[in-house]
Amino acid sequence: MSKILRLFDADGNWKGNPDHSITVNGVKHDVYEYAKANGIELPGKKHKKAEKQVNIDIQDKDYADLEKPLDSGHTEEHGDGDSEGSE
Amino acid sequence: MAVINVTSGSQAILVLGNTAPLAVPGAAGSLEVPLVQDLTISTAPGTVRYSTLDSTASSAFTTVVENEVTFNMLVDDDTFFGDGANTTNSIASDGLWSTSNGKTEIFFSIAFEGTDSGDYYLTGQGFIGGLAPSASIDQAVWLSPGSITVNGDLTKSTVS
Repeated sequence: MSKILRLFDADGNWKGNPDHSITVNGVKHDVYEYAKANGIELPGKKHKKAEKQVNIDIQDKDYADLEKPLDSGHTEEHGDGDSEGSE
Repeated sequence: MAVINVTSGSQAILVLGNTAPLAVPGAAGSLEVPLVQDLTISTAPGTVRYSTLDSTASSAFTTVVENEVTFNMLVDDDTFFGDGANTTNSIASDGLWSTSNGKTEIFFSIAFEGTDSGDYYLTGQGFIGGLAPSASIDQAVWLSPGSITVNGDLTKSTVS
């Protein structure tokens, strides 16, 4: 087991330097770059590439209304336009 | 799982500081005690034994843990009498002798694996004592034992 894994807690959270730097043989490295270069699999989420998600649950909906001809855009008026009702 | 081989010369390290951050292995300004020949960490839980008439064996319970660090070293002049060049760490500037004589509480750590990230060390605070430098014609260098009487717990940590 790589020693740098000790710098992650049980939940995979980083608990080392805030800038994610590590020191190996007196030389500073970024922990994620160092792990990648040395084939070390780190816990946690930050270093993992987001997996491409394919949503297979989407079903083609029947967009029947889209096949109807568009209306003229006119608003049909009802009544004489007088908002005051007759008594 | 692996044994910790300390023969590289940079793994079993005693580090002293007047603050906890200055006593972290590899920290800038820390006093890394040189020329240490051996290093012993003693952690001893106190126990009380008692016997009862209904048992053929005595029973026991624990009280408090007493921690101590002991070492032997060759006397390094700057470490023993002080290095004025270190202005950030009063333990380094005062030296072991004055720190012991002044009964100054120190922070310390003992690196088990060195100063690389992820290396384990124990840390605590306490008082330097047990200095007894000696020299003779046959033993042509100054040697001294030393100890740290730990005030409280020893805590496991990793170099970040």
